[in-house]
Amino acid sequence: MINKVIEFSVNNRMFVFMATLLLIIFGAKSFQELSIDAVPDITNTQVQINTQVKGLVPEEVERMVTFPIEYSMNGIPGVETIRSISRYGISQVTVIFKEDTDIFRARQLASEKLQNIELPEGVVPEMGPISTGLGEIFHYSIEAKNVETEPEKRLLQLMELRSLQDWFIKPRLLTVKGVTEVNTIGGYEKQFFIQPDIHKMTKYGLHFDDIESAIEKTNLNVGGGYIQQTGEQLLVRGVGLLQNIKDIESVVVKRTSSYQVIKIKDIANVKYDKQIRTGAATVNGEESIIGTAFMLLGENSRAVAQRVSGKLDSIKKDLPSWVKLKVLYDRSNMVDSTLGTVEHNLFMGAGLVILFLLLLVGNFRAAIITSITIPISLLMTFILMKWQNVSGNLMSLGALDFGIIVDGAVIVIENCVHRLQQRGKLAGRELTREEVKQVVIDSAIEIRSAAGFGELIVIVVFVPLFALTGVEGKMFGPMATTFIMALASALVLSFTVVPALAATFLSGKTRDKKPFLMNIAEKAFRPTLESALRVKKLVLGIGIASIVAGVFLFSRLGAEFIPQLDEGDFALQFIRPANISMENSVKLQRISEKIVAEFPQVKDVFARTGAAEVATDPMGVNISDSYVMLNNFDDWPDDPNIKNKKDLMREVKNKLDLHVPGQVMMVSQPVELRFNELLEGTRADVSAKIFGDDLDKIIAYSKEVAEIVGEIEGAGEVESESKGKSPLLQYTPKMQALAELGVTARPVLDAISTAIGGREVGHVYDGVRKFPIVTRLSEKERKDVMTVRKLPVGISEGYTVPIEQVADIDFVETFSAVSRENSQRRIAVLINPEVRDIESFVNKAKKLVDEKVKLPEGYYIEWGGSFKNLQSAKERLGVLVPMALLIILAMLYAAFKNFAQVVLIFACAPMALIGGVVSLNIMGMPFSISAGVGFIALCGISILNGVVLVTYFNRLIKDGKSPEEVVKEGAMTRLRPVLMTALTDIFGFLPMMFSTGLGAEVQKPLATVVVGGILSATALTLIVLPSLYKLFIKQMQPNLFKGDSA
Amino acid sequence: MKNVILFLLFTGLLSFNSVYSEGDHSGHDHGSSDHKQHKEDDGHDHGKKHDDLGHDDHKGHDDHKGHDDHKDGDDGHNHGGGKAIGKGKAIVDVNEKKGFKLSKEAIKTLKLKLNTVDGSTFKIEKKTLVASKNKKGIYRFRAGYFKFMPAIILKELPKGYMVKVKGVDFGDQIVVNGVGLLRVTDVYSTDKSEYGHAH
Repeated sequence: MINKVIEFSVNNRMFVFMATLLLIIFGAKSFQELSIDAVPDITNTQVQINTQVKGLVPEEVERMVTFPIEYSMNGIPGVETIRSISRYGISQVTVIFKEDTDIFRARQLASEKLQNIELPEGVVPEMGPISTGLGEIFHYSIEAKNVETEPEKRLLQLMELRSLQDWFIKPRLLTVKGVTEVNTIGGYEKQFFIQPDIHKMTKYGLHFDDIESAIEKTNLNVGGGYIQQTGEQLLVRGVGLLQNIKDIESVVVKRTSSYQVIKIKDIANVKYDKQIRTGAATVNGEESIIGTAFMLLGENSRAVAQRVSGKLDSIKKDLPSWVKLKVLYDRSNMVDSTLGTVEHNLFMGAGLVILFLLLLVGNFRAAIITSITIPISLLMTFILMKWQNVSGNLMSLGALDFGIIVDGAVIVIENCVHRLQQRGKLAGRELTREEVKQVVIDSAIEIRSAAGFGELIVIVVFVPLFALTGVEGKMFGPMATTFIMALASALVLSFTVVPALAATFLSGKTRDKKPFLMNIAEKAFRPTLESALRVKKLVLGIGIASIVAGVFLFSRLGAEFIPQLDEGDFALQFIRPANISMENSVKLQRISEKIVAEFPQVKDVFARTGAAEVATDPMGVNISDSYVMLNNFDDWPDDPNIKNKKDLMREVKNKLDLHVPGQVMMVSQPVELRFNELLEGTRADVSAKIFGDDLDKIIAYSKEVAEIVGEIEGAGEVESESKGKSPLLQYTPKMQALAELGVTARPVLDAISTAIGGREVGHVYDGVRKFPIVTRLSEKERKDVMTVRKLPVGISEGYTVPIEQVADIDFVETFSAVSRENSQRRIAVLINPEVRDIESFVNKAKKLVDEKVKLPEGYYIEWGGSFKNLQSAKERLGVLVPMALLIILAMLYAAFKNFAQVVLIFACAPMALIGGVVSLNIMGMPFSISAGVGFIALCGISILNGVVLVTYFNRLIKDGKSPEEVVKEGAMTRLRPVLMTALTDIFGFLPMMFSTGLGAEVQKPLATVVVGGILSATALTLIVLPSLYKLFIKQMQPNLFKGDSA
Repeated sequence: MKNVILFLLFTGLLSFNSVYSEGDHSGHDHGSSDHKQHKEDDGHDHGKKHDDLGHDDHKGHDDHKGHDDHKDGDDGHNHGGGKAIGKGKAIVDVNEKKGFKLSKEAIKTLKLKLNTVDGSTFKIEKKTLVASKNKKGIYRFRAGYFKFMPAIILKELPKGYMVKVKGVDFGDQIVVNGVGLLRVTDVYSTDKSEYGHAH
């Protein structure tokens, strides 16, 4: 079949060239349409259900809202895990579905279940946006060009800015294709406050209900149908809608028995004031409004971010002149930088590969033909990626080594050049074009088994990666897919385009010129080989010793899942006491930001404190997520203490630690923070989750665990998720006193809810915009414990009593949050280790905690984080890779039909591993799945070398040469293709190995393993393999002389 | 036979890592004893160290030598699994009797201002009074330590209060500006219910 393809390609070259041209066009088009991102989206299929619950403490929210929702979601098919968090005023349930569940189906099922849940009156659960961990693609702020300094004016300014965001910017951004939600945090919603004077209310015997009732009766328009005149019709309406503060002040509340009219202005102050906020935003130390655009699941983040940016540019033109709209975070920058690194490494690698092909082949045309396969195979890969919906990212494109990809083409073209030279020499003249064509066909067919078979083996070793599931599957599946696609494309090209080009462009005068480099290599190799053949047993010993050393060093390597991607910027999470007020939390945040902004390396620092409007992340007001955006590294001033991002993070943390008390901080990165939150429900790289029923107990255990883990070297930041209890001012109606007055508890509860919490009693309309009218005590009175004891409670018409007469008022403590997972309460200990060897760290921590913390029955600890993905991947690969190797063994046996030869070829793999392990040690890298992929690739490449060499030995044996001649001539003849494939593989990955660009750290282990491994594999294969072949020639000879070949 | 050994070694290599990774990793265990020593030096015992500095007044904080030497954040001891208290941190020391001590940088950051009082009864501005649940009080600054002292309001004045504070004596200083964030710091450093670690 392949023979026919080769013959067809050489005989129908124009057809092949036209087909290639079409491939190039389609490839370029596919690239333009390819989904591009920085990293694969590893978020699981999940539905978030957010519920606002006013007036309930976390334990009540858990009991009355969270638990019923969790309970009903449990029955949905495909649900894997349910997590929840209950805070004061909010419940969030996260339902995680099995991997293959369609998100829209999952939402549909969750929505149906929500319809049937009985929740407290007025409580309406809502589903979060259809987005993922990579969803927050764009942050922008809206600020005033001149910030008002007077508090009153500043309040109005922030209200205006918030209104602009809510009513002007957000609706327009929601029209952008691929945007599913625009979340707002910060500023103040414009609200009209009626702030009653409780003394005056008491004086006139007014209840809070009276104000609500008065507003309701006044604030409406009515329709009067129409009236007909002689020839016309007139519509009729009555206008009562309130339009401004003056209108509200004029509303009549009561007329006394003495005909005195009591208006709102007589008993209350009407003004704009601060709402009770659950979240605030700050930018560079000033309060601001931050908008976040969420990308719809499955969209292209780079494209959507660019569209959002474009839309904001057009919005900017329409904003009032005093407003400044600033882009804070644009995901497309990170994607561009990361892919810039990939692009740089790919092109540098491709350039080096071409250069070395030229230097080693010594035939310009042959080198160019081989090089041409690089861009064509890449374009073919883009077509396949588009077809299979594989996104282009650091993992998928970053793993491509053009050296490995062109191995097949290198082997084919090298043999063509070699054979043309032989035929030319034999003929003693320039070969005709027809003769060239025939030589190309013959030599391509001759070598196709070795080239094709070898590449097939490389493909087979990658197959186990497809068996990875979960996060590891999402991370490495695209890598394996892309690599196999590229390899398969190159393989197809090596039997089609390469022979066609060779038959067209290789000259009949082709001389197998020995390039300078080859001459040196041969001169060095010949005596080495001859010496090795003299001491074959010693060589065998060296081979075994290197394998043993490799195994030993490998066992000493630490392990991590994958290296942490450097996102360019970093995030700081500040955690403050649970009972801190929003005002003080914002003050500390502003101070912290100003300190961070003093660093000249920092471009912007912005933060979200507490929960946003759409509570995708229901943080308490004591937590601030800060994003530190950095200037271009080239613009950093020369500072001996700050040479890189790591230094900067350390210095920032140290300065904050020294200057700002009352908070702890955890350092992370923007995307990493969200991934951790969405995958594990915690915001750290490693978490120890303590499960149990009694919150007090699990909080105590979490602190104990935190103390123990904090003592381990390299623990970095260790923090119990729980901040204990918050104080609560609690009113409990005195039922006896109320009974004596003949009223229920309702008036008491209403007074609390209205006077302290605030009650929306109507709206003021401005065009389509509407602003609430809220009745609530003034901030000054709400703060005063004495005042809140005197709240008037209406017990009958015109008669009130102070609330302290009908309710007990106490300070009690409540948990600040209740987290649950799989129907059980849990508290997590958050750990961001400083060490890279996470696996060893977690093992040590587990051991220590198991020794020191004795949990009662029903309580247990689960460890979570990326190390779980490492364990799961290692478990699967530990079974599947040996299986793949067994398949390769079987394939080799089927091809060579000699067990001794199969083992000999197979021995090339461990000889390659030693180099990989040593290079990881030299570079100070632990084992990771990225490195594992490198080892997998190495197995394939080294076996390919063995196949090439042994096939040639067999051919020479078949030609009747003696064993001594076979190994000497064979090794010397195959030195060039083996060196060519080795050097192209090495130089293809070399730029990646030493790259310092954004995202390079993820690619480095793979490149390091392949480069180091190929070095050792090439040296050992060229020396050990011929020696062993000769040493065990008796075991191999019987079959060899029977004339088998690969 | 030799070839079989080669094969077995190779296949064993891939699964070897998981077996050994839980074992000894002395190769990566750089200087653990040094680290422990370091923690012991700068850890729980910080109270004693700073007593020696003798912070009798606000100016005394300028003598906090060594804070600037802090390089990598390891010096500070993390109380309760993460609390930032110790050398190189904003809260330098916490003592149940004396209160808590702040770094000079933190004092500057919080914009704390002090006034010297001439006895246990004195006038204060409204912003000096700290309200916490049912308690009212002021912050005393003595020997470098801040401490919350409950106050009895004797009289409400047009712009402040006349208070009596047991534990404030002639020559003591009280905090007259920045009490809000100082209270947060106090809660953070001393309130056991929040972080559960006793000092």
